[in-house]
Amino acid sequence: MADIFLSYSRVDLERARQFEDALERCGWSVFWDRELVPGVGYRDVIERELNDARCVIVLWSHTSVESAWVIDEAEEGNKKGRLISVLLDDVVPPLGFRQSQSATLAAWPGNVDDNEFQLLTRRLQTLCPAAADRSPAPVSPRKPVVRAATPSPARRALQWHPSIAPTLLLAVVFLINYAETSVDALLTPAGLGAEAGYPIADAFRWFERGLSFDLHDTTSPIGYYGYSASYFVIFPALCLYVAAVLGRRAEPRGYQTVALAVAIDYLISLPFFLFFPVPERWSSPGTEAMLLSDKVSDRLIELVRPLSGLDNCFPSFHVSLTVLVVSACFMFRVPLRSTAAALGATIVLSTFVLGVHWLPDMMAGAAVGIASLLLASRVVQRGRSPFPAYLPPSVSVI
Amino acid sequence: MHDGAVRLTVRYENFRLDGAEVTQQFDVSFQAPADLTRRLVSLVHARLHRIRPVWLYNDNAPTVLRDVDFDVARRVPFQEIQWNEPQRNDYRLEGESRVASVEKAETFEIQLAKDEFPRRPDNRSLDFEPMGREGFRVLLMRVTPERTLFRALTLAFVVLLVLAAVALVWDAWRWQLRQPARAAVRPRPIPLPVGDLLESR
Repeated sequence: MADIFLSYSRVDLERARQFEDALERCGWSVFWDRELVPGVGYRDVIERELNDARCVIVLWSHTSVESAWVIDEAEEGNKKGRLISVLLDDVVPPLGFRQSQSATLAAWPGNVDDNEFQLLTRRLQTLCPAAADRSPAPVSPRKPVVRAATPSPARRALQWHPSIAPTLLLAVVFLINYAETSVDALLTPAGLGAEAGYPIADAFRWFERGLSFDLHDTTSPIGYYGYSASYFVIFPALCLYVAAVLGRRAEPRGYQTVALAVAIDYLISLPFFLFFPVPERWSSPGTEAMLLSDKVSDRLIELVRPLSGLDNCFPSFHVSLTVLVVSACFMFRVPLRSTAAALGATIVLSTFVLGVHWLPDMMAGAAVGIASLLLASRVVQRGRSPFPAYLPPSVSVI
Repeated sequence: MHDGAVRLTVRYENFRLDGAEVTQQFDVSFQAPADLTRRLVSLVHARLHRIRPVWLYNDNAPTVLRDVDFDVARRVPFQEIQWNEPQRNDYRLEGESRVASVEKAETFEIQLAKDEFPRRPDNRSLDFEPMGREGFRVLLMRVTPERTLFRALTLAFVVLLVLAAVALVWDAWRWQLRQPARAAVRPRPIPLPVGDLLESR
């Protein structure tokens, strides 16, 4: 049984294929007659799929408004209150199908973040939540989805909007990071203080072939103002922008993936933060580096210090999150992603120029960011998302 | 400041340039106390200006014998003094701080412009008295150029910022292109399709 039964005219095959592909990318299973197996009575199969589908989408075009088959299938969906009309051409649906809302995809370029397509997916969510949002699929394709008895108020609250659970997860990561930074000093070997990480810093200097930050403070004001802005302002702004764009989408997989990736990223980094103390470059003897943002204001570093310990340098969480967020922009086709990529590059460079991170930190951070995003994406795409299903208030629980 | 970082301000008393006392400011980042000492020593050696006397045996041009290896600013402040006891660096200031431009900066000496120094009645040679108590102290101000690595990284920042702006314009342009197309396809009421319905799709 597929989530969606797709009704269309053969003349519109290519556009139907593109549409079906986009729906599947959003997590819905789609039945259309291209899937019919030779030798199987296609009338029976179509009738059965039409009955079982949770939603019927009709692609209205110049041809399909005159197709008896399409009109019959639309009639069937309409009777059950599961019909969604999509206008592929500048046409008016036949009589009897004009009352339902229709999405206009005549100029649709085929991407899932198109506004009209997003409106459509929002409507679809109310009829049949995408696979990523549902509980694990039932074993038998014929059996209806049976949910547990009345969900708890907390669970119901999480299901109220698809962005709530991922946002809560991000908040938890934020809080744990805050707590971890507070207790971090206690875990440093007694009596050593920041010196515990100096041997590691020396190893990193060896890796960098003794790169010196001599005359670091001669950097021009464009450099230190610009990179300070990247590190302290553009970085949080970029993260918030991507979270806001993905979180507002009807299709929640993007936001879920990013939130899960951030959690995975932090989980991978946490042991290093706790037990592998690497001091920031400027605080290590022999580097000649200074914290360049001090030339703008020494308050800047104090703002982030509660979340970023002095010896929590490896791997660079700034680089890690930047790489993760920019990659997510391209993965989920976030608007202004090219701009985000250029600004992301300035953030990555700022960790080096400001005298905070070492090259191995940055490389490890980038690797962890990409790995976390790929892992999270795999988890969410395979329908193993840890987030509860989204149930709009208007949808009754089956 | 924060995490143990300190800001070191060096004042060169009585040396004034463009109406303000000459100062230098350094932000010194450190964690270990021994590292602070080392960084301070390094700063004193490599970054501070130097005060040197004018060599009075050359009355053709005010000359400072060079014992430092750095680029000197084109304009430097100097003071006239009266020595009390040169061995103990004991002196008395005479008059205000003045500014001289550097005419030559050679391997062994730095020559200043004559304009601000006293001259003999012939108006050609300088009125210096090497065996007398009058002397001049010059502040050799160090010029420290931006390091190539950081200059390149600053340039990289500007290039990336320009790229970000171009990308923004590009995205806005694409978005604008899509708008008319969308407006054109809004459904309008048209007559119902007439004619026979197709039997099959």
